[in-house]
Amino acid sequence: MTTTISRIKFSAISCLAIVLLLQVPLASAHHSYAVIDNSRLLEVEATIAKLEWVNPHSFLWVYVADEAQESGYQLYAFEVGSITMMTKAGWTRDDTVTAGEKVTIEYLPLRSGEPGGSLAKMTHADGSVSQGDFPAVRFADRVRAAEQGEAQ
Amino acid sequence: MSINYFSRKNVLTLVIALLISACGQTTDTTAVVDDSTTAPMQEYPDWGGWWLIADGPLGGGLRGLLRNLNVYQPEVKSFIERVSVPGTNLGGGAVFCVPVRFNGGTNGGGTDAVEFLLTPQRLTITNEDGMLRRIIIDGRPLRENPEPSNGGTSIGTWEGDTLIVETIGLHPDTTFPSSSRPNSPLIGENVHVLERIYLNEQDQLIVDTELTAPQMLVAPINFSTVYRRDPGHIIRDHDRCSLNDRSIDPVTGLERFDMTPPADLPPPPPR
Repeated sequence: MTTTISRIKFSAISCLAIVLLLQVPLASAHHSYAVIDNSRLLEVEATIAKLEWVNPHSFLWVYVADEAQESGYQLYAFEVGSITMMTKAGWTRDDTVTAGEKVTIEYLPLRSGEPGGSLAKMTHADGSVSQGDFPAVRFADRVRAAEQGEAQ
Repeated sequence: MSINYFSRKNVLTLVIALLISACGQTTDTTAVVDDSTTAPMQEYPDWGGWWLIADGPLGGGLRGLLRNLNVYQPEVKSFIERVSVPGTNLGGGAVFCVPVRFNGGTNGGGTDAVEFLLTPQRLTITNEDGMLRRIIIDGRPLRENPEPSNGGTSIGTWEGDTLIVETIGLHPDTTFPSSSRPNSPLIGENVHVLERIYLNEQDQLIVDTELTAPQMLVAPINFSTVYRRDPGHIIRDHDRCSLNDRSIDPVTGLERFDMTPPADLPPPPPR
């Protein structure tokens, strides 16, 4: 029993240590992502409304079909990175998205449950992919890796 | 009796006086230049253009080094562990709006490209965050106990093609390793930075740094940052200020996610 508890303690401490070690290098963006649930990855099909191309965080606004809404759509907000970081990710202010374009978005949701979060990956109708800011991409990779581990 | 100021004698006297004055100024200027620390412009190494950290935004020797939290003083290590728990909301939004400062870490290049501008007797380091460091290379000694400034007080000396830069006078309340982030430790007092900057054979710009920060670090740390050129780079501001930041509440300073739609948001598509 003692051995079991020790193992549990050791395991918990190890997990905490790993979490802390993993967090430190990712904490290079200018805020801590406290409002984002980094442990879940969701997906929506959306219609582009507007890209706010601003520092320190650009925002992508999209409409997602929702019959419960009077308009038939729910407005979602997705945070991405700064202008420099999104440029490195291959985004441009004018050409990455177009209002009315259909896309599929993978994202780390808001802890509050509001519609939106941190964009990890956007797939365009032609199959091309636009990645999100690097912390979101890394968090998403970890979620996928954890899900694959559970599935095995 | 009228005086003729433009007589040949007066004009000649004036010309001679101006010549003597000009010669004197030239002599004085030359006297403060130390030939051992300056070189004609064409002999300087080519550090032109924009530079990025070679192995990406999370790269650089410093990031790897800091994965070992034992480099920090115990109370600093505890702080980092506490603020690293996912979901911790630390706030501090106004901190994001101070001018960008040098903190003894890298000069940028992760999220923001860097310029190393060599001019006679001067290296200016600046980046897309707006950091500005002025490094004097005219042989003068490092000023003692300077008042803190955003870029610090620096002097440089050449050792062959390597520039040795010594920096003090940094603001003690600057965060580290990112200089504009409330949930990071402060560098503290009596910070001293020694950098060796040079091109390697692969045309990479190497910055070997020794950072002494006794209130933050257990002992001085040494790390290298490898920069690669970014040909054709287009400068873009990387402004970290929280003004207009949907991620920071400007009133409370707490992190948030502002869902207020833009005023010019297009209407939803027809059903």
